[in-house]
Amino acid sequence: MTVVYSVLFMAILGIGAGVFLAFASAKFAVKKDPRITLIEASLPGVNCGACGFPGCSAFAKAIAEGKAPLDGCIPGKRSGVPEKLKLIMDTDVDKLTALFEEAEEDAEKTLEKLIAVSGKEVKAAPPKPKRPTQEEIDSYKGKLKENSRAAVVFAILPNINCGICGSPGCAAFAIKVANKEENADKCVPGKRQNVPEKVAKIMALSQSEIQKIIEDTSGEPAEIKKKFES
Amino acid sequence: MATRLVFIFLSAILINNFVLSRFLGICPFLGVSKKTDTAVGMSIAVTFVMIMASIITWLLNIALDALGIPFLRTIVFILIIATLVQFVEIFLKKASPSLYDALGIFLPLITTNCAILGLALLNVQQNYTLLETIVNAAGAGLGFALALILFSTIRERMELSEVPEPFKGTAIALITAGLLSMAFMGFQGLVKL
Amino acid sequence: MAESKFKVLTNGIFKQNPIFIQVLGMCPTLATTTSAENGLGMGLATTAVLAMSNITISLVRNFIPDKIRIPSYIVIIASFVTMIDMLMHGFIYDLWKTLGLFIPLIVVNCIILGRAEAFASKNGVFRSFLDGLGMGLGFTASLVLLGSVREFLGNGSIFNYHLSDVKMFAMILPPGAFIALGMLAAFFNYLGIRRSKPKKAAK
Repeated sequence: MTVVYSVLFMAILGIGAGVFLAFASAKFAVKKDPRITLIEASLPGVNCGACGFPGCSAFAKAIAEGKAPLDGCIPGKRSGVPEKLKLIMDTDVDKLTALFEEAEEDAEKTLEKLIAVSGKEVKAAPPKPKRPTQEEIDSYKGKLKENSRAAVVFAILPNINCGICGSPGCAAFAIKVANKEENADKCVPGKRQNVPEKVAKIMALSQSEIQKIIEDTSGEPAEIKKKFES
Repeated sequence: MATRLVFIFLSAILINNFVLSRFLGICPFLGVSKKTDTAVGMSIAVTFVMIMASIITWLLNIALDALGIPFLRTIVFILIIATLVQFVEIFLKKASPSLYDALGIFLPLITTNCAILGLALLNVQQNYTLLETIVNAAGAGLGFALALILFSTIRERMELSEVPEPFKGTAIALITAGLLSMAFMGFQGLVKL
Repeated sequence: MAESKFKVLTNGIFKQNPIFIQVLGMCPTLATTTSAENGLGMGLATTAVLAMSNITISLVRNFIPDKIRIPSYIVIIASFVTMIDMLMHGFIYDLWKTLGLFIPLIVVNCIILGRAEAFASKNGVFRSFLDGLGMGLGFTASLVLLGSVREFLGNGSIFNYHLSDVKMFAMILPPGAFIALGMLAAFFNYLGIRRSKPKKAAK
């Protein structure tokens, strides 16, 4: 009997709590400004930080509050993002809410509807850059030990592993740059941190100078980075 | 009757302060007390959950004893507390988004606040009546608030002092809490039943 | 993924010591370290719950829907705590009486829920067991250390083995707990600072 009572009691309690919470979350639902959701859907979504904000969600919020420039998203600049953002911000909020609900809260569909309704020509959504997996990041980081020039380049990169450069992670990109297979300009978040200039300096150094840097700093990336900060 | 209630109330706030004497609710005590406004917000949320949880768990405890399944007490109590905290989160998000943002991660952490589960279990252990339970819960909440707000004002001042390197952060906070606890020990024997 | 199994185990003892580095599980730390023996008992009980709950949660991690995972973890942990509580009540009554309220409070020990969320929900069964064991051992070691300090200063003994006649009773009382833990934390911080200083001096 104890077992029956225990099971019944827990079942009733569990179901009761679940129903109560479901009811509460429906009754106290907060309507998120659809603009933020739509803006977020227009962005590449890599959280690279090039816009100066901590992540795409923060940038979307700032745009909605009018605190960020429409062309602040550097990876999105050439793929029609500023135009999309302008379209969203120019449209009446109520109209956006209506469209959003019509499309059953699907951001992508709402955007398509919005573009169709406005009759404007907007470029296709930028292909989302591929973020590297943790295994790729770790394996390339391991390879840095074999290439000291790449290790120095790696130290001055933003190390966010956003994937916009097309390489699987900052370590892989550093190796390619050190082997002159890749241009440092491809690092979009790095443009704010003067990465192309720093890379030019590193490429101009001789192998023995590179060795000296590694010895002086015991290979610590933070220390290497300090050496290139003027 | 009334004197017993007063004793329970004062005991919870001063004589056996939940944080400084009973060691319940230390994690938020150390974690949320860096700024006074978050401390106040946290105290209000915790007091509310304490009173609601105490009432509901006291009632459920009667059912548990009647059905002969007292061993389910811990599980049932913590589930009620988790549900209540979830509800407070949903409610706050709508009613006061600024307070919700200010509390941040600490709001769901009220679930793992030992003070609330400890309070619920103490009420049952000491066989309090429903009224005594409510008074105890109110006292516990106020005691927690008192300790938390006092501590946060001291910590705000400490931000501006020169603390030796090894002591910065948790260490000096703990030592300060120890001194505060010592001060509260002076309340022993305040009310004689 | 890249961590060896041994590292998973020792992680909880040194690098990510729950009390001194992560600052979690403070309530039982301060309350149950009135003596080394009490600290040991509490630590071992918590380790048992940690290990068992980590194993269980790792086993069912693919079957729990994401939205209700925290309440599910809590129920699993609470069940193990109830088991340990009843076992201690039956087999080690004196320790059970001393630890009192804090045995059921193992449920809300942030360490257990924290490891369930951070490790057991994403790793295999044996690794989760090692992680739980490691964290538990680190926790136990810290508790025993604090308990020994408080017992030695407050009662002149360690594990009830009489050593000195110095008795600062305040150490066994609440203020002593805070201050002792604070001093220990400062000491470990000091060691940490000294470790990183020689590296800087060499530059």
